Amino acid sequence: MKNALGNPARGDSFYPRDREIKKLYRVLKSGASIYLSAPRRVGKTSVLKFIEEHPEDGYYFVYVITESVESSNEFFKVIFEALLHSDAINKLSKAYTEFRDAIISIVDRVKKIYNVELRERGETNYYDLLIELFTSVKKDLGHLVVQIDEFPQTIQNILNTEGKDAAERFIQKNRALRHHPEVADKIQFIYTGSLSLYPMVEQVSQLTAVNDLRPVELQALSLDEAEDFLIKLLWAEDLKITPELVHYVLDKMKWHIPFHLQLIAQELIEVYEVEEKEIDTDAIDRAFEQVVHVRNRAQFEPYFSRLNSVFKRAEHAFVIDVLKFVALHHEISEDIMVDFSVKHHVENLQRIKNILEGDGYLYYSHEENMYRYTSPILQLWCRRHMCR
Amino acid sequence: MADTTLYNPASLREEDLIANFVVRTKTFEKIFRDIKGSDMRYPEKHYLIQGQRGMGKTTLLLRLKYEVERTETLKDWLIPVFFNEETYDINSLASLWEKLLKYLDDYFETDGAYYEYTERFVDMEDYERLCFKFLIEKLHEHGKKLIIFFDNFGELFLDNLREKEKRRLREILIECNDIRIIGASAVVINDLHDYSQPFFEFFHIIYLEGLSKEETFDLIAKLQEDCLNDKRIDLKRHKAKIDTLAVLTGGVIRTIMMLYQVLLDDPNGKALEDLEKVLDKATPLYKHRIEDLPVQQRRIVDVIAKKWDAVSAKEIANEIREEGKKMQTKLISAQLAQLEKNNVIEKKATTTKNHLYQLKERFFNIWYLMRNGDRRDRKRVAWLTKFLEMWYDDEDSFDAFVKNHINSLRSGKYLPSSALLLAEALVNSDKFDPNKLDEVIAETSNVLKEDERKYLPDIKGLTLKLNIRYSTEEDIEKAFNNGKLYFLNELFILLMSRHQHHFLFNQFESHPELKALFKPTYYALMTLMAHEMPNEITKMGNELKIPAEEILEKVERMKVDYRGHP
Repeated sequence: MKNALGNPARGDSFYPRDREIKKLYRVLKSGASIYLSAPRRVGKTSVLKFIEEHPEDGYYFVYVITESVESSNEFFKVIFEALLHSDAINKLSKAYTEFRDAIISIVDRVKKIYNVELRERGETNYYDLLIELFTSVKKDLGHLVVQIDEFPQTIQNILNTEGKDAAERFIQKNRALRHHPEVADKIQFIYTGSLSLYPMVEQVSQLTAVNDLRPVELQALSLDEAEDFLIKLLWAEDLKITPELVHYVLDKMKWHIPFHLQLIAQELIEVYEVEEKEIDTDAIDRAFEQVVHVRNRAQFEPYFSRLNSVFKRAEHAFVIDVLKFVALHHEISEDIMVDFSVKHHVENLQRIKNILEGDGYLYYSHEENMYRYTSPILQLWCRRHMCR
Repeated sequence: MADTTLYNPASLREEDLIANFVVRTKTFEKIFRDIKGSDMRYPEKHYLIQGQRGMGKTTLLLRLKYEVERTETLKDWLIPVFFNEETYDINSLASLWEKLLKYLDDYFETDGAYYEYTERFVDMEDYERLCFKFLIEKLHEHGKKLIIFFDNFGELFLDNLREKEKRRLREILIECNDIRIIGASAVVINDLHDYSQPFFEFFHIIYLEGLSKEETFDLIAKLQEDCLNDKRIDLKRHKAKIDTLAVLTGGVIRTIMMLYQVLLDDPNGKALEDLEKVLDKATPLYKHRIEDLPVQQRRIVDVIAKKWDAVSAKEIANEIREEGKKMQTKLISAQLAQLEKNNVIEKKATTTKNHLYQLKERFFNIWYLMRNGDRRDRKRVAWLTKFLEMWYDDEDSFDAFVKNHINSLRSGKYLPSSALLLAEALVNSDKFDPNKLDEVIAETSNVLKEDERKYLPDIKGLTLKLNIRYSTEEDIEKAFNNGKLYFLNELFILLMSRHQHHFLFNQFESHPELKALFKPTYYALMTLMAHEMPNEITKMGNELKIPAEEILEKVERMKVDYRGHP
């Protein structure tokens, strides 16, 4: 199994996530659209790409990423074009003449309208075109699911470039699209992104604007899965280690997301190649040290820089204070957290705690009434590079 | 090696570049194994090779490109494209697609048809997307994929992308399996990159560190193969010097290549006449290194370079004023951390929080002194003095050099300007045996014309300086009265061999000028007193290591020789 560190895992590099995929289909079969939530680098894009490439019978998925999109119309245009060029629409067109004809007619018209609009400096309304495209999809053709990656980032972009009202209208327009009579019972959507959706929506609108989306959470790998995955990654580079040592690694990691497993596998192989001797616990300890080496900063810094978008000013200062504190002291009590919130004049403490937990930074131990880092690796990074 | 190829490996013939590619081989194999083993069915890992200028990034990129072209299983479907470090016209996504379309025009001999086609996209809002789509269509049509070797990728391209383009780049990297990027960047040095940019996740970052001693040896051995027999250097005999060269250059390939010939092939010290010219050749490399730094870091490097020996953040703070205020130590520490991370300086840890800092590449420091020395005072030759001390790092070879130099002067063929420069450099060296002072001055004087003699170092002043005037200790006074510093040094060694550490230390403390005159001896003493003053020894420059060790050996020998004496 090739180590696809950094890229979404595709083909042989993808570690099957059967549980999560079943869960996604279960919700899709109920007819709902989905918000796929997970901390960054847990494998959202990989899962979406996998089901796009290997759909269940009767399902057609189209993956679209809208990270760079800065306006509502551009958003619908990107989706419209992605659909037109997708394997899914291509397959449907081949199978159903009527559908193909409908698509050809839309495309012809787009060309005409587009050219006219271009001459007159007008703007083609891609929302309407999209509705028209969806209208031509008949229910009995199958289930068409549009996967929209980095949707919260798109909201953020619109907020930045066009302001709060435009961002709110954009969220509402997406809701309207989902509930459009020609869309509601035929087309489904899976939204996801590395920024959390709910806090982003709350910044510009009410949560009711997205309350029709069914949240599905993508979780870390189970211990057995993590063990299996790590062994496969190491075998791919001809490195075999004993089950005891695998457990030693996993125990140190605590949080078994594919990305961290890929990172540690890469460093273990590096240590193995440099030292040219069998891996032991000391070598594993060294590999962990290397994981947080500055050369991996491209992998870690986004964890902390993205907090800039999620939290503003005082809240951001508060969050960084808390994360640094936990990095140094391994845990933080509710009391100290409240004290920090007073220091930074933070009002909505509960909301911040929810995000930090939901986005995989901290978890709450009910037995000890303490918050800790979900990932000791992330904690080590913070301590090494942010607390100095 | 010609200057053009030194700075521009792309002008080397392909065969020569491959034949001379003897270092960075592991990195090359690792990346190439990945390229060869990838069918690009899915988006592949991209690479970003980072390292200071002169570390071999361009050569590595070219080596990879040539290997792709030569590999049967790749060349049918993978088109390698090389953008050199002067590709100033690619500073946006759209311009990258344009450039690639032009490249494909040449490759497929279309008479410019592809690029011309993009004319119809001009003025459209989604110009970039349309160009990209068209490029991908053309690649699909021909059943080809691209691998782009992009030199100065950070500075020329990434740094110029607008916010929207950065997000768009990430979209492309997630989805596109037709283009793979192997970039190189020197920007690590000033760390302008914001690694929080999410597209960096898609790059596997490889740092090129300086060459080790073994790698330096391999490099020089390989470079030697093409030399004529009479120019060839006896590598075995020069093994120790090559090690010194590796340390002093910080393993920077370009510096090693520039200096090895002139330094190693120099039994009589004649090549020193050329040293100034050689260092001038290094100017483009070093100038960039300085100019790449943000202003504050530049000022800090200036202070450290001029100090030569390791200094603390506090000492640096004392030297830098910003708008009439001393720069905060906290701020300096932050910048020092950055400079250290980027391999410009090296930290010498102490037991306290106040670490000491020194420029990592000593040749860079020498160059700095040469370019920035004050022309009016003796510091103007400080660079040469420092070089001589570093290069002839033990007393015997320094003495041998001085002897050879005197002989060369006697031959009468010496250039007057070089003779003057060397005389000045030598008499300012702590290693210079004052017994040779008169001889050096006299012989130098002989090669000068009458009117040039006024530029000779002022012996009177020197003698005064060399004779430290006041000492309460009888032995020291005696030694000074004789004007024999050599014996004074022997005396210090004797004192150490009799474990009179504190006594000797008190002499150094009450006469700080002694420290400068007897640096190796002082650091030998500090080694012996390390348990009491662990920080002092960390101030010692690498070039003093061997001389100090030699002093310690003498101390040990003296312990044996004088055993039993009261």
